Amino acid sequence: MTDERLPWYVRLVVGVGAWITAVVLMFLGGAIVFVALEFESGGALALIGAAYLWAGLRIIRQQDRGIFANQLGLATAAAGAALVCGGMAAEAEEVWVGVPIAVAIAAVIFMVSTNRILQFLASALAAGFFVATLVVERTPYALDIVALATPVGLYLLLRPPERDITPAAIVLLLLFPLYSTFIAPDAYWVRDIQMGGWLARAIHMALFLWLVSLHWKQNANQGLNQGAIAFIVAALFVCLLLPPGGSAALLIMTFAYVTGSAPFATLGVVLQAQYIIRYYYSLEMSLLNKSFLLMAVGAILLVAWWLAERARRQGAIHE
Amino acid sequence: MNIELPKSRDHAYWQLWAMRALLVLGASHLLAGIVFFFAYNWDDLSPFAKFGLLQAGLVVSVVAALRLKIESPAGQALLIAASVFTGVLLAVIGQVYQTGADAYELFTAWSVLILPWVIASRSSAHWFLWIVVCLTAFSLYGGQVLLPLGVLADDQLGIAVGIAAIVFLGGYELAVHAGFDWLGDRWLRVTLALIGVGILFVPAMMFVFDWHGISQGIAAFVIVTAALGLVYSRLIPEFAIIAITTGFAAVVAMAIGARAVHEIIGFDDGTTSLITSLIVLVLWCAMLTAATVRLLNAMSARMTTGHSDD
Repeated sequence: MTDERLPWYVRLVVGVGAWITAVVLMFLGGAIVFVALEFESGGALALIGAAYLWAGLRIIRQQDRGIFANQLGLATAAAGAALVCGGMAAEAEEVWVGVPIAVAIAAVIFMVSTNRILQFLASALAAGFFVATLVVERTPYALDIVALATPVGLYLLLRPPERDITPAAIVLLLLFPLYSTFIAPDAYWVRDIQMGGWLARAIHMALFLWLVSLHWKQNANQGLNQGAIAFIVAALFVCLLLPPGGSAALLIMTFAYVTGSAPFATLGVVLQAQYIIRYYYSLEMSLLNKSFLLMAVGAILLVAWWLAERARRQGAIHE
Repeated sequence: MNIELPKSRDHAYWQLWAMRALLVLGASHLLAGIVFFFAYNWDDLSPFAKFGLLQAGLVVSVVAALRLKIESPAGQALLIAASVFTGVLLAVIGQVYQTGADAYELFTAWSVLILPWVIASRSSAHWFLWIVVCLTAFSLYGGQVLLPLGVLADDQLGIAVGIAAIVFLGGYELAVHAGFDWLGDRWLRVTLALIGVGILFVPAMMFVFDWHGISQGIAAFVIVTAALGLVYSRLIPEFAIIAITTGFAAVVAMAIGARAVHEIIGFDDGTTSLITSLIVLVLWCAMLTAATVRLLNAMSARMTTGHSDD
């Protein structure tokens, strides 16, 4: 019996447990290298990590493993992946070194294991190193760079390749909303860096139109009524007005709508609420200007709702 | 590029969801903008204008809600808007007159004043807003009155607020049981449980790691999670709450294991004890995660929730 058949929120709970175990395992690896063997070297840490990764994958691949062995293998492999990337980055004294290594490890994990939680953790590790590199290197236009992950994630979720890489697609789709809501606003203290955002907005608008066109292509019998047009125009205006973090959450909600995904709907709502709360503290513009912006967005969405509702009622009367 | 969207999607349900989401998004952005606007405390706007704008907004919301019918989604959203206007109005009264009132008084007055609209709206979202206002009022009262008077300690206040959230959950279940079907939105039940257990988790962890914690913290956590587990596995099957309580309980158990290992073997008594402690802790955490999977698998198989979770 494995954890693959359980609802998404249970897999989240199990993932948190595996992540905590992996953190303790990383401490164990660090203790072995730095305290027991007294090696002050990132390379040694990476070596221990490689041993962890090998052992963890070996356990997970055993056919007759029990639940305990499965969880231990999962945590060991995850800790190993993190130690290899962290160790190599520390050895090179460059965070970016962790990125290609994390991507390579994630690719290996996808090839040799079907454990979705491990695949998710490995993908998240690669994404984490990528974001850390952008922050440490103070990369200009970081918002636009991270936004490039969204279309890839969306495409992979809508048209999955033969080999199931859903966990990586989810990480790619969530990378921008999480980055723009929780990390980018705190980077605005670096005033001399241009964070970008217009390319991200353009990407969100294009993706929104793409999702809507897919939806209407499949539901051609419904036609493109007045309400639907109002909705599309409103969404495009919202993408244009809102900082890209806000429109990213709306995009996830649109994805949830066209695919009928309750987890993504929940996630979109939570991200949008988080976004509004954190937006209060962001320093990109004054509270007064932010208030006007939010009121304008709210008014546009309400007008769209009113037009859509009117069209729905008229449609019901005609039927 | 041939992309097929899932065909199993319940079209009517998602159509309704999209309309509700659009209304909620519009209303929440507009109201957040209004809150931001008055929080800015714009000097160029006279107190008369501030009060005028807010009171006009309040009156228009209530009148429009009555015209559109209170039970309709638009009517409910307008009454929620009236409740938010009331809170902002109280805050602006504090800004203009510098009443010196404590924040808990504002939130208490807010919760009392909006209660009739909350009752009238028959909306679970409105009840959720009211519960959040009440919990905030209670928490602020504790922080501004009970803590300085020495009636409660920091973590006792956390316990009290967490239990208050669970009491609201109990009230919700009694109301649903009494026939208030419109309140029966599953999200409200799960969110209240998450808030209650999440708040109680903090004093429990403070006790385990000895961050000036008290034993009531862990006791309240254990009692509440056990009670929720019992109620939502046997009386009112709700697997999401079982998953939440099991997850939090597993993390607390991991912390207890870490503390026990620290006390018995120790993390700072030399290399051997450090490595032994970490190995024991790894095994403990892996065992707990495995036990969580086994328990949730068993519960999932046993419970028939009657809805799709995935």
